[in-house]
Amino acid sequence: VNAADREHDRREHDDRIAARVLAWCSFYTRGLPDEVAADRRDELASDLHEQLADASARGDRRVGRAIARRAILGAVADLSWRAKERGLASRSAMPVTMSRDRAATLRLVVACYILGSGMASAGIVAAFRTAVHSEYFDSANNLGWPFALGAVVAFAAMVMLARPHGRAWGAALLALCAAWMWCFFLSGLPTLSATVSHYLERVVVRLGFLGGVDGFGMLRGVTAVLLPGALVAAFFVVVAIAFRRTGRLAKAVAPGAPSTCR
Amino acid sequence: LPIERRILESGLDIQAGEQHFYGFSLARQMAEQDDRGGLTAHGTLYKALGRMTETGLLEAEWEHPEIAEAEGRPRRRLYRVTGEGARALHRARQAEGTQAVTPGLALA
Repeated sequence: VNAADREHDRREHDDRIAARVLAWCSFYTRGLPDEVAADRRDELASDLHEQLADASARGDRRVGRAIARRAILGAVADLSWRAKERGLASRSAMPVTMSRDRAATLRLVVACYILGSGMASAGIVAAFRTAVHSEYFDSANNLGWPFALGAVVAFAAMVMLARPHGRAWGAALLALCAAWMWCFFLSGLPTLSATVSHYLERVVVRLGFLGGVDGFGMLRGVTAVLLPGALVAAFFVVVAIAFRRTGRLAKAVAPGAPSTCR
Repeated sequence: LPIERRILESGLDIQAGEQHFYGFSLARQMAEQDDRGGLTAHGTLYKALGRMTETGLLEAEWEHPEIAEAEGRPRRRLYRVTGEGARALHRARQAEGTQAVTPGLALA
């Protein structure tokens, strides 16, 4: 009975070693393509089974040690194989990634052009209206040039958006332009549009800025007033960061070559 | 000897009697030929087998699962030395001035 128990314990010990080798295999195949990882795991599982069966048939009691030795001596080759397979997988995934990046870049450029055109048009209209109403409102005398400047800068930024290398700077310029024009829009709103001014005032009153002047109501009111401009500016900042990232990726893929994210 | 050459030699020896060989049978044959006792490490063996399959020295296919199930074991990945592999071994031997021709080379 003792001999049978010892044999049972020894086999369990060998099975545990084989399981640890398979666990090591699962570790170094993680993140690899499913088919590649499954092939290596299945092949190793077969090898371990065959070695255990062969040792059992020959009465070899040192098979656990032999399996551990094979796993340890091959660990460096396992990691080297993993590095190579990861390289192959990332290279094969690169065209898909680049294609997705190109599509996303195109969508962002279109969005920038739509918003930028809107800002430039608003700047021109605002400059025109402040010029028309300057005889009625003293404050309007100083608002024409900021809106005109904003419109010119927005146009310049859109020209930069047309060039892949200038997109990040173009979007950053549009962010500054959005913040600049919104500040002047708020200060000149009564001059520019009585209707919009009226509705904005109602929103602010509803939020408590003018109704009950407490700290929280004031904060909500200020937030409501600043939010539209801040959102547009934040959008352009995020887009500028995204353009910069895709530009770096294109350079990394084709060092020395022009950007491929066009 | 480089592991590629040992794999080709042992693989052709197994192929002389059987149609295919698999990882453990190859490791055992290599150990017997080397007379050093120890089996080739897992990582070293399967990395080399993968590399040789990619370069066309070996061809590989998975055994039908029904066969493995019938024998109550995991399925094996079956390898075979290709004609290109046999020629590569022949050239390596010629380069060393070895004139011996194995039965496996005649089969390939």
